[in-house]
Amino acid sequence: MSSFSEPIVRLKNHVSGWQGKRQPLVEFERFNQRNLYIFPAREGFRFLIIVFLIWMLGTIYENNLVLLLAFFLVAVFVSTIFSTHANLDGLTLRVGDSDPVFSGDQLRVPLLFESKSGRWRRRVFVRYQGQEHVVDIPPSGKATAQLRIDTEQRGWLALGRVRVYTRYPLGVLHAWSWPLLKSKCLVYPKQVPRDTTSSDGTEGHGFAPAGRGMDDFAGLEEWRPGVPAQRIAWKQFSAGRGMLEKTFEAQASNPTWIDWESYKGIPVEDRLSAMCAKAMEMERCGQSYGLRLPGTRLVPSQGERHLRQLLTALAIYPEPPQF
Amino acid sequence: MNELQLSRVQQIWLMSALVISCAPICYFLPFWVAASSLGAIGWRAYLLSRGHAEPNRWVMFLLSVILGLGILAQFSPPVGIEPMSSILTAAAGLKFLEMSRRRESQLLIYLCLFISAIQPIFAQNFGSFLLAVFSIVVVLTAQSMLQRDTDQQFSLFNFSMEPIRQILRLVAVSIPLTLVIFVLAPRLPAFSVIPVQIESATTGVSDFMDPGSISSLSNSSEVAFRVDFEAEVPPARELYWRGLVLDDFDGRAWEPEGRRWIRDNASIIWPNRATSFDWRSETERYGEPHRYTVFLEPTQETWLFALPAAASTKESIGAARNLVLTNRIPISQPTKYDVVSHPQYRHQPNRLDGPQLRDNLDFSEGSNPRTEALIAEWVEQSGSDSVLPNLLSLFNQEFVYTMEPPVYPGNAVDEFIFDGLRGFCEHFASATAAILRMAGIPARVVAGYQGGEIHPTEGYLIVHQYNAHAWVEYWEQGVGWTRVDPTAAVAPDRIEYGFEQYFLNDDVFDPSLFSLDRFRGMALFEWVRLQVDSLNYRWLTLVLGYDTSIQFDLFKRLLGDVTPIRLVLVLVVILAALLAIYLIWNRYNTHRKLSEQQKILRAYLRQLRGLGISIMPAMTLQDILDEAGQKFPNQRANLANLTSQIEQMLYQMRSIDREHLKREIKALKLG
Repeated sequence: MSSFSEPIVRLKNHVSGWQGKRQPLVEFERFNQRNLYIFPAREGFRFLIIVFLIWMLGTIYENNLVLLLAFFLVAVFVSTIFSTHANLDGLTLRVGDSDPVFSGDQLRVPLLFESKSGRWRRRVFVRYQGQEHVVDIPPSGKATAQLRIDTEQRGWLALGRVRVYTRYPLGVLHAWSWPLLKSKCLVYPKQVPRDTTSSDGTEGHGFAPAGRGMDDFAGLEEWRPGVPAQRIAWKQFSAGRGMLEKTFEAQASNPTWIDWESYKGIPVEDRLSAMCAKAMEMERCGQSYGLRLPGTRLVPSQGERHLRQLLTALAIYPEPPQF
Repeated sequence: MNELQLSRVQQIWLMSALVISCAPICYFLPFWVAASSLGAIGWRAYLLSRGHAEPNRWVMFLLSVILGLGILAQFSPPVGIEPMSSILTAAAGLKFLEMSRRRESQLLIYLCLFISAIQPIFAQNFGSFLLAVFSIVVVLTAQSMLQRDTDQQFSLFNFSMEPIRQILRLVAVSIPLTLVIFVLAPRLPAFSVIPVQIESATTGVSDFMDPGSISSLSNSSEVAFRVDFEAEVPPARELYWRGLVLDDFDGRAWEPEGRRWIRDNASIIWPNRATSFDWRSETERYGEPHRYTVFLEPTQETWLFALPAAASTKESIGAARNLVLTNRIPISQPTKYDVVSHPQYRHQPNRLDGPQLRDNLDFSEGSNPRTEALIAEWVEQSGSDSVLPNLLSLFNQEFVYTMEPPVYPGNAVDEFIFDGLRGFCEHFASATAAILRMAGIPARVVAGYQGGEIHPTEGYLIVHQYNAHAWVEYWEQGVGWTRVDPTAAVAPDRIEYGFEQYFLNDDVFDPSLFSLDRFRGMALFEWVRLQVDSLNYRWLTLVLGYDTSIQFDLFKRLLGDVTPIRLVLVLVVILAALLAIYLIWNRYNTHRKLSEQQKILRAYLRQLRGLGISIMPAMTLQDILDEAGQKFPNQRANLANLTSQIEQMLYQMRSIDREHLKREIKALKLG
C-alpha cells in the first residue's frame, strides 16, 4: 500500500513545493504569465469534437468552405486562449480588512480585486473551501468577493490557497491561479469564563470590587462609538437628550491585572480563552484592567482601543504585539 | 437569480442563434422540417411570454417520434447531407423547445454551430459563405452570453453591444490564423465521395435537345463557367466549348447515343486506370495546345465543357470516345479542372465502326418527308458534296436568326425549313445535321457553349448561360470529324463578336431579361458587375479551388523544396509571428489606455528604478520616497517635492502643470 502511495505523495509534495515557489505567500498577488495556468475546460473538449466533426464533413464532401469554417473555429479556440488568459492577466488580488471575531465565530474575509485596464473583467470566480463567488470587475475598478470562514484557531487567519478562475468569454477554456495570500484578519481566542487557579496575590484586589464600581454613578458624558450598550443612558435618550454615556467612579480607580500567572496549571489555549473572557467582562463592567503575558505588559486602562490591543496580544501569543 | 436557469436575454440569444443557423439550409430541406423547427421556436416563445415551463415530457417524446418517422418517410435511404441536415434542424428545434438549463443549452449551441458549418455544402458562393460566418458569429455570441450573468430584463433600451463587440474582436483576431491554417493544413483525400444531390432547378445545357431548349437558356445571364487561360485567350470564333455529343435523332429531338460504343463505361478512359478498349489512337493531335483551367458552376450533371480536342489529367475526369470529358459524379459544387486542348486535331479520320456509322446516318426516315425529298433532289442534281454549301447559302440568304423563334410542334425540320424560316441555334444545328444525314454524310449535333466574355481587367473568360450553343460535326473519309456551325452562316457576327453584341443591335433583344446586364452601356453598373464577378472569380480560384496541387506548388515556390522539416519550420515561424503581433498589439493597447496621470507615474517609477531603487508592488509613494531618500540623502527635498506633486495630481487635490512635472521627472538625476 505504502509502496504504491509513496510516489504519489512524493509527486504531490513536489508539485506543492513547486507551486509554493511559484506562488509564495504574498500580501498582494498580481496575476501574470508566471502564476496563471490555462487548459481547455470540459466544454472546450466538446467544442473541439464538434470542430473535428465539421472538419470530417469538409473532407468527405471535399468542401473547402466547410474546412475553412472548421479552421476558423480552431482559430477562435486559439484566440480564446489569449482572451481567457487576459481576463485574469494584470488583475491584482489582496485580502481586505475585516473585523476580528472570536474563535468559533464566522469571519467575513473580503477578497479585493482591482483592475487597472480599460476593459471589463467578467465572470471571475473565487473558490474557497466549497464556497464559490463570482465577480465582474469594471474597467479601472474594483470588486469584492466576501468569503465566509468558520474560525477554529486564534491568531492571524491563515487563508491558505484560494482558487481564482475564469472561463470567460466562451467557456471553452479554463484559466486559473492559486494565490496564497497573507490575511490581516485576526481571530481572538474563544471566550471561556473561568476562575483564577491561583490566589497568590498577583491579581491584587481581585475583581470583587468591580461590581460595586457599577453603582458609583459619576455623571453623563457625550456618547462615543464603541461604548457598551449597558452604559448608554437610555432614559435620557428616550427623553430626547441624545446619546449620552453613563460614567462611573470605579473606572478610574481599582485597576485589575489579567495575569497569565493566575491561570497556572491549565493548557495554554484554555488560559488565553479565560483571559479573553475576563477582559471582555472587565470592559463590560467599565473597569480598568491591565494585561500581563510573558513578554508583554499592558498598563491598566479601558475602552475600545485598549480592549482591542489586549485581545490582539492574546490572539497572537506567543508573538509580542506591536502597537 | 439561479445560476442554472436561463435568463430571458440568454433565451433570446439562443433563439436568434437557432433561427440564423437553420434558416439558410431550410431553403434546401423539405418544407415541413423548417416548419416544425419554426413551430417549436414559436411555441417556446409563446410559453416564455406566458411564463410557463417547457412542455410535458410525453409531448416531447411524441414529437420526436413523429419527426423521426417523417424523415424516414421523406428520405429513403436516410443517408447523405439532406437527411442529416433535416435531422439536425428538427433536433435543434426540439431541443430549444424543451431546454431550460444552461447546461442543456450548450448542446443546442453545438448543434447550431454544426448546422452553420454545413451551410457551404448547399451553396458555395461568396455571399452564402458570409452568411455562414455571420451565423457562426451569432452562435458564438450566444455562447458567450451563456457565460455571463444576465440578470437584466431584455429590452431594446438596455440592449448592449458589448458582447457582440467582444466576439467580433475575437473573430478579427482569429482571421489571420484561420488563413494560415487554411493554407498550410494538409488535405486528406476524401474517404468516399458522396454526391450532394440537391433538388433545385439549375440551368444549363441538357442532354435532350428539342427545338426551343437552348433558346430558353438565352434569357439567363448566370455564369456557366469561367476559364483561365495560361496564354492569350483564343479568338471568339475558336471558342467552341464542347459538352455533349448528341447522336440520336428521332425526327424532332436529339439525345446522346445510348448504345454501347459511346455510353458504356468501357469506352471511357480514366486516368491511371486500365482500360479494356483503348481508342486513343483514333485521335491525332498536333500543333500548339491551349492550356487552361475551367471553374465550372454546379450543373448536377456529369458532363464537362472544354475546347476540342481536350484531355485532362484529373483523377475524377474521364475521356469519352467522342472527345468529351465526363466527371465521375454529378457536379454538385463549383469544380475546377485543368485541360489541355489541341485546336488542331483529327478525330477518327480513317473509319467509323459499323454501329457508329449506322447511328450517325440515321435521320429517322419518314419523319420530315418534305426535307427528305428536297435533299434527294439536291443530291441528284449536284452530288452529296454540294449539300452543305447549298444549305449554308440558303440559310444565309433566306433565314433569320432570332431569340424568339416560332414554335415548331410537329415535324420540326420540315416546319423550320419550309414554313418558319426563323430559328435559334438549335434549329439550325438540328436541321443541318439531319440534312447531312439525309445526304449520306455522317453527322451529329454538339451541345455546349460558344464564345464568352473576357473580363477587361482580370483577363479571364466568363461564359454565361446565354452563350449556350449547338452546332454540327460531320464526318469525311481521311479528315475525320469537322465542325460546321450553321449559325455562323446566318449570323456571322454572333460568332465573331459574341451573343450580347449581336443581340444588342437587334430589336428582338429584350434588355429586361438580363439582370445586371440590363445596365450594359452604363459605365458604373458595368464596372460593378465586373467587380462582383472578379470577386467571385477570386473566391473560386483562391478559396474554393485551393487544393493539394496548388498547396504543393505554393510550398515549392516558397520553400524551394517541400520537406517535413521545412514545413514544421514555416509553421513555427508563422505562429511565432502571429504571437508576436498579438503581444505587441496587446501591449500597445494597454499602454494606450493608461491615463496621462498613470503615464507620468510610470515615468517617475521608471526613472527611480533606473537609478537602482528597488520598488515593490505594494509600496506606497511615501515608502518609495523613504527608500530613495535613504539612498540619496542630498536629493531628498527634490524627491519629496516630486512625490507630493504626483500625489496631488493622482488624487486631484489641485491641478498640476503636468508638462512641467514631466520635464522635472525627466531631469531627475541623483548622486
